[in-house]
Amino acid sequence: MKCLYAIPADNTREAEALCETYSASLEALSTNTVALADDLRAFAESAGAAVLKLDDEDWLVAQQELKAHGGGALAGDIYWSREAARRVLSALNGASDSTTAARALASWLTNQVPRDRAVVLLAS
Amino acid sequence: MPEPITMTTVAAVAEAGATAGEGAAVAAGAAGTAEVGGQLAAIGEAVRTASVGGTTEAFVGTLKMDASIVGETMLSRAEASGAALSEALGRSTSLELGRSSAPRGLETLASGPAFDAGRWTDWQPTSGECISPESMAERFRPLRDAGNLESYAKHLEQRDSGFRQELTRRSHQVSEASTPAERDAALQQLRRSTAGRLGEAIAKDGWAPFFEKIEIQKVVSTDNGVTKIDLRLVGARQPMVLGRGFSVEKGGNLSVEVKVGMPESLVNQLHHAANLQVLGHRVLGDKSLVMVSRDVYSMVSQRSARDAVAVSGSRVMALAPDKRMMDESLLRLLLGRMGRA
Repeated sequence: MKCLYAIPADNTREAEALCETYSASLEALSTNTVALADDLRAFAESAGAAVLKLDDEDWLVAQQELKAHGGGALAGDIYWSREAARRVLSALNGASDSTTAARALASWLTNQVPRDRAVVLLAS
Repeated sequence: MPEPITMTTVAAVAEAGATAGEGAAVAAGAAGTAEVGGQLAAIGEAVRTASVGGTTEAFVGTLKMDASIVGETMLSRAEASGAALSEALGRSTSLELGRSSAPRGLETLASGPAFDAGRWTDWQPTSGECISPESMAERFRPLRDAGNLESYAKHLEQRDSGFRQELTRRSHQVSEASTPAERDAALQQLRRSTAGRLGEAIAKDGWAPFFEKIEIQKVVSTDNGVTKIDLRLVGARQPMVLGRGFSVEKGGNLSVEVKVGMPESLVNQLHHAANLQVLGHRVLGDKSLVMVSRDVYSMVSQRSARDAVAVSGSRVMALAPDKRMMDESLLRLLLGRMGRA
């Protein structure tokens, strides 16, 4: 399952820093990575973020659609800045025959992007 | 001349009482804590009385008596004594509880550099002894040590082809991950799927010596749906008293669900066990147990989840190691496999 957390504007800087640390730890892989993953999730869940949960199959479909419309590089990130979230929404809206999963993601982002929210994407 | 009794003495007794929650079962909840708090307040009052004018000898007598009440209250709530309580109370008040009732040989399996995963797995209890909560706490205690747990996981990898394949899949997933999102997904898969298997293996190996036969994932139909029992332990080799009003007679069966997870996920898991899985145990006429990771002690709604399990006719025992320790041990094992440790 993929959990997408829309981080309120006031907390985006801290979210970005935590995501950078966690991404670097995932690259190096050490046992500390487990604690960093928990810290990031706890932060996202306590930041008052709106959450969208997609099961693995739906996330795969949404990812493919995103890749097909120019958002491929973003699909592999665990942090979408406000600008990146706008680009994702724009890419998803560009599809003429989008899937249900992609529409669900686009609809959710339509609510979050105007509020200048960044997005943290974590597997669970 | 005896040393003066101070509130430090009382604090030591209180700490011993709190430690009682370690080991075989979920620690006392809010009501139990309040009860114990009342007993401790009484001891505190006794301390004040002694310091004002009572004799030290008279107070020591009171302390012994009250410490025993505190111990009993904690035990009845926690359904376990724990070796720490035994040691602390035995040392300070001459009470004998806990460790002495563990089956012979368990002490030799204690954590530390001498831990031998093969020996732990193959250990057998002394025939005819009654198994107590302390016995089970001692049985599982070595795996609370991160090094011992990793040794156990390595040993499991060598002897269990299913677990070995699981690790191989996770290794490939981590190796092939090319983005942070893919690496995060691989890590979470390890923490969910592989750690679950490790928890079930710990439960199986930990309980196996006490029973004639083990059935894995037995399918049972209940009024609330079909469920699979993680572990059905058939034919107890000796009588087991696992808590107040909770025993398995010689030849009896025990059905076990294994729940390992961070505190927030344990809440849902325990309610699921209460609503469906325990019913499966009862359909078979077995005694029922939900074995959880020690994260249960950090659960905010521990009391209500534990009560839900109790109402359904089962018990909760916190015998599995902390979930994060399991995750980290598995990650170290995986990194070792990948030559990245």
